[in-house]
Amino acid sequence: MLINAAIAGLTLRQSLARRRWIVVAGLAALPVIMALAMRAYAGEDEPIAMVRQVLATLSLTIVVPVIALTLASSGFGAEVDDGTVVYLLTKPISRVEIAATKLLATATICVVATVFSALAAGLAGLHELDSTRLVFGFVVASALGSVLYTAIFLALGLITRRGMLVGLIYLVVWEGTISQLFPGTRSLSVRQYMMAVTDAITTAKLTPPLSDLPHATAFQMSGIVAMAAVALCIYRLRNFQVGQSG
Amino acid sequence: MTVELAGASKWYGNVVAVNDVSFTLGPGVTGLLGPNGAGKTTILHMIVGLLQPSGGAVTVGGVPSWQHPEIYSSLGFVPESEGVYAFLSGYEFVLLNARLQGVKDAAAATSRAIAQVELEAAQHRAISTYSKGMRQRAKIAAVLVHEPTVLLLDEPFNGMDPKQRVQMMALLRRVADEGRIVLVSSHILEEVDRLADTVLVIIGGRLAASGPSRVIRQLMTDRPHTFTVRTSDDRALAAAIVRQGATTGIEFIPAGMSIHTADLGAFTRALPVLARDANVSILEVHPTDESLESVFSYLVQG
Repeated sequence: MLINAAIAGLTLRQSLARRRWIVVAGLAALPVIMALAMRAYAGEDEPIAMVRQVLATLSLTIVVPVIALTLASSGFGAEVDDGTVVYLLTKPISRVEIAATKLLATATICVVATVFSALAAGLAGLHELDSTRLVFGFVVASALGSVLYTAIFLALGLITRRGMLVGLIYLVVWEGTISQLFPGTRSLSVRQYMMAVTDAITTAKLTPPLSDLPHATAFQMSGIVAMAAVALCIYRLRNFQVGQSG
Repeated sequence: MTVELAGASKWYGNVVAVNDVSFTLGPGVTGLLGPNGAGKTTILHMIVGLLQPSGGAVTVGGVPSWQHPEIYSSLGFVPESEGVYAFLSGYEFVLLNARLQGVKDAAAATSRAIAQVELEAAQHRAISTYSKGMRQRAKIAAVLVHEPTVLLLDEPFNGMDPKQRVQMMALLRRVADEGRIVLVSSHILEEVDRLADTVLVIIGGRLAASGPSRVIRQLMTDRPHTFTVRTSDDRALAAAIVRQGATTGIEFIPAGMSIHTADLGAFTRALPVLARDANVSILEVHPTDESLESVFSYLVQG
């Protein structure tokens, strides 16, 4: 069996402990509030373009990665720091099972929060589910981004003690700056995968597209990145050595 | 089942933490004694499979402990680290460990383990509200819950008051009397001496001495001692001591005199008698070299 119920339960409690659930709920509410405000302000003018803008610039760019970062910050990295990882590792449980369960449990919370957020923001902005599948595209993209970011940030926590900082730098410097300036680097940006997936799903062909990354590349790279992050988690757990002391 | 180290070493770059240590643990309490930084925790971590030996072999029941999670079914480790899931109650923490171990009736096993460490009254409070001693007991209940054959505890008495210490020793004795292998690390001779059947002395990453605790204690007390003594008339008392023969040398120092003796018992019995007979008042007596490090350095040279 690949999923351990005890670890899953523990991870759910850890992820939402220390008022983290308030941060997650607050972040998830942001796009909804923004969509409501824009709808009230802009009236009935091109609601599709407006919702697209809110979900692309706020949801996919900020809300999804920051929720994933918040939830993953209670993951392996924090457990290594406070020593509780020892209680997980000294059990007759395979490292694959530990990694898979942690990832699945954390990603599940992230997916629920971001999908609900994107859906609610879409409905708030459009007052209906549009026939162009725009909101559906963002929902799928949010779910995909949640899984990828969670996997990446959990792995980072096992590689470096500054996992959360490195995660933040990746978001701001790599995704926010470098991949905007150099299109060639976009195939290594989760944000670009999410944008391209939204483009691929929606029939509302607005210009310019959210991402110029070929759709097939986005799907393929998503699979590769997810597998690489999971493999890295398993490898690091298998070879985990406690910090030397005494 | 046994725990065996065969030439086990651990080094970090040029720094050797544990150097060619070999021993076999059997049922009963074994004390791992050594000053701070001697390598006790490193040895424990190698046995538990949380560190990969750089050389030699470390096995539990014949299975190398590195990268073999199956050994944890019969092994329990209580880390020194204070880190626990503070948001859980003591009961939830022990139950979690029971479920992670795949214990059949986890709830019953949890109640049993909590009763064993006498933590029933506080079991439903969050661990974050526990005292150090209670935390330690919760951690021990968490490893007793799957009834391991091998129990390893890293400095379990740290931060405990004397009463808690006595309770903990009684608990570990009971556990060992059930035929389990219990290994307890400590930097305090008294603790190990009172609890352990066998003592392993670790100094500078090496196994410096091992044997029954009585023998180790003798090794540590039957050795040259130095006392600093200040009296109303140092020279008169010095003359009496030299005549009586309880010293191997006396040195006059600003703080009084420094007296060397080869026989601790004879000297400590003779000193007050000699002072009384010479009509000298003793103002101060204290051992100069009682620090554990000096005991250990003596052992290493011996």
